[in-house]
Amino acid sequence: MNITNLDPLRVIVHEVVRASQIAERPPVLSDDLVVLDGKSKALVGRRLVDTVASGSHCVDVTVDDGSAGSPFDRATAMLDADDDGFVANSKYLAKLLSTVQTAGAIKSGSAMFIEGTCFADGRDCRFLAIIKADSDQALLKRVSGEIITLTYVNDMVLGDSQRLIKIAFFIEESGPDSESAGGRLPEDFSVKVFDHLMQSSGNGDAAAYFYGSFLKCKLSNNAARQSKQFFEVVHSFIDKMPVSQADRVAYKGDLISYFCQNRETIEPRTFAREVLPEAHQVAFVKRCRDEGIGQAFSKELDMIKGKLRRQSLKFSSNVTLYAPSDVFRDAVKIIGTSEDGWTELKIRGSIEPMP
Amino acid sequence: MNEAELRSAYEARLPALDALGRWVTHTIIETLEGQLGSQNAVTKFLQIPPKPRVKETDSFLEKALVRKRRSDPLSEITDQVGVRFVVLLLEDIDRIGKIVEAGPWLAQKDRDFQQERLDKADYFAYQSDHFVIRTRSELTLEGIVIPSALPCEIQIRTILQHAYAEMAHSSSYKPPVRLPEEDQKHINRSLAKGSALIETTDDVFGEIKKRLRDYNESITALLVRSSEIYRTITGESANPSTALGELIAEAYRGMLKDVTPDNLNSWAAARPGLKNSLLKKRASSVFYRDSVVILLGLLVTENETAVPKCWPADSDYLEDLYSMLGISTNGIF
Repeated sequence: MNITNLDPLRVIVHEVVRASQIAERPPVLSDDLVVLDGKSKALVGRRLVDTVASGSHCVDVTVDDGSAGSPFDRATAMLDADDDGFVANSKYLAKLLSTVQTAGAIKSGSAMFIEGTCFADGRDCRFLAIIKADSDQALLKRVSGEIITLTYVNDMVLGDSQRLIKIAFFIEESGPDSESAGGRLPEDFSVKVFDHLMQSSGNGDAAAYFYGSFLKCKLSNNAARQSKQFFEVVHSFIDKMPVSQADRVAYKGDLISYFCQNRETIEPRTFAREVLPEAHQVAFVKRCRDEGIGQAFSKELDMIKGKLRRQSLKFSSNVTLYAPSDVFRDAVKIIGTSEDGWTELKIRGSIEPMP
Repeated sequence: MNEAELRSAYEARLPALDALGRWVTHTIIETLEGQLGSQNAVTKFLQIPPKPRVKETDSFLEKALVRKRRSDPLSEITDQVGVRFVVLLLEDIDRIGKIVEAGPWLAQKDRDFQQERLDKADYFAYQSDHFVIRTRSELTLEGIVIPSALPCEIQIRTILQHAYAEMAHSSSYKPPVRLPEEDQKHINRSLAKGSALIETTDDVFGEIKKRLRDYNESITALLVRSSEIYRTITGESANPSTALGELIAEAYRGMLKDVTPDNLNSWAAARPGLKNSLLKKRASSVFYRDSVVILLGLLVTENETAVPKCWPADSDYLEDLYSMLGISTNGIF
């Protein structure tokens, strides 16, 4: 989804803590909207774009519980609420976030609720963003005449490090049904979540607390289809790369091992950087954009299991060589092709007796 | 006319020849300055400062009486005063040639090396354009009376042709000592090879210049189209040639060669949100008042991971543009 012209309109910030700390020091929940000056607005806008727009690591999620009073219901109601309703719902959600912060190395921080407008895929839309911003430490530089002082700050938020930000982004794709008195429907919204924990491998459970326990969402139903589409785009891109057949086989092997690695999400720019030669990275990212693959997606292998299981090498003489993907990479080496039409291979291991 | 009479007639016209040479040189340089825009540009254009030279009396007499007898040497010998213009490229020769032909005198082309190349297609030797100009009527320059039809020879050549001419002049045209015939043949052969090489190199230089000019023209066309699109979108006019524009054109040479003005139109047409963004941002940032943001915007969307690597200014501006275009800066800055 292409998101531009992001304009924050109403903002409120509350404190969030670990669940275990709620009793000993209840988090501060604010009653007042925050007024952002121009530069602060621009910074918030940039952080949102960096984490949810094209080229970002955010993923689509599907609302699992959209019933009355659910986090989805509370969040989307904020779009049409008056200021009192906006404040009340944000406080409810901030408190809920503190309550679910139970597992792992979760830090205290701030929950920022931002309502605004944006241009999404060519249409004016409203959005509601919830940012869980962990506090960072920094030094504040002040210049006074010839003197420069540095003051320690332990509560800085929205710095450059994405490690310290989680975002839920509700983009309203169609307006409320005027005849319906109840809450909003999940199908009216596109919901995106960014959590750096989803990029790293083996942290699925840690990441799940934000989109799962807190927001009652699950990874997108589209994940399997998106994974398959990406796999096919990469395949066809490699087929057209001006490299030798042997290199193509190697890149396709890299693609399979990339998918098989223990990672939660896949993002085209990162994939290009980690797998493809530098000269082809720009063209690959452009190809993904043209195919509508802008941001990251949750990896879901259901539809490509067969393709990942084994790698093959087909020759013009109708000979085909198969090997399990994890074996192929290290056990098959293409030495070269001779002018008389033979290809020289090296295969690890000795020939076993025929059954 | 005997030698003594010819000598005194020639010496009598020396001041007029000297004044004519300076006037012709000055007139050509002045016109060049008008065309190129400054004295500095003329100095760069002319590889060697042109200095008119009056033929020495003995040299004139030798040419008139010994080398080839002429019935009216004062009129027939055309290089009594001459000036040479040495330029970088073959096309520069044409520029000066046109100025000479349009000057306030009667001009005749005596040697046309382009024509000579065709006439003697398998012959490589001295190449230069020679013009002979003559005053249309009597005139007074710096208090000196210049008679009607007084000739002045103008040579125009490239710096490579000049190098050849200097070499050939000292080795074959007027050798200090005569070489044995066999040696002279070798020298002549080498000179022909040199001339052929120089002709080839002059053509190569022309090709280089053409490529540079084509590139500059295509960049200029992109900047102009950016400015037109910017004006259409924002309703505000923008100068197509700015320092930032030059900086960006320089930094992204490689990427720009694949961009056409029509690409810019399609890019802008596909972004209906651009108008609001630009109108909002241009009020507070000089960066968004420069129409090169249109061209840069296209470069960013086509090469999102590569643009930051060559960005020639403060990266805050570029990061903000990414944000405006809805492209994450994550991992690429």
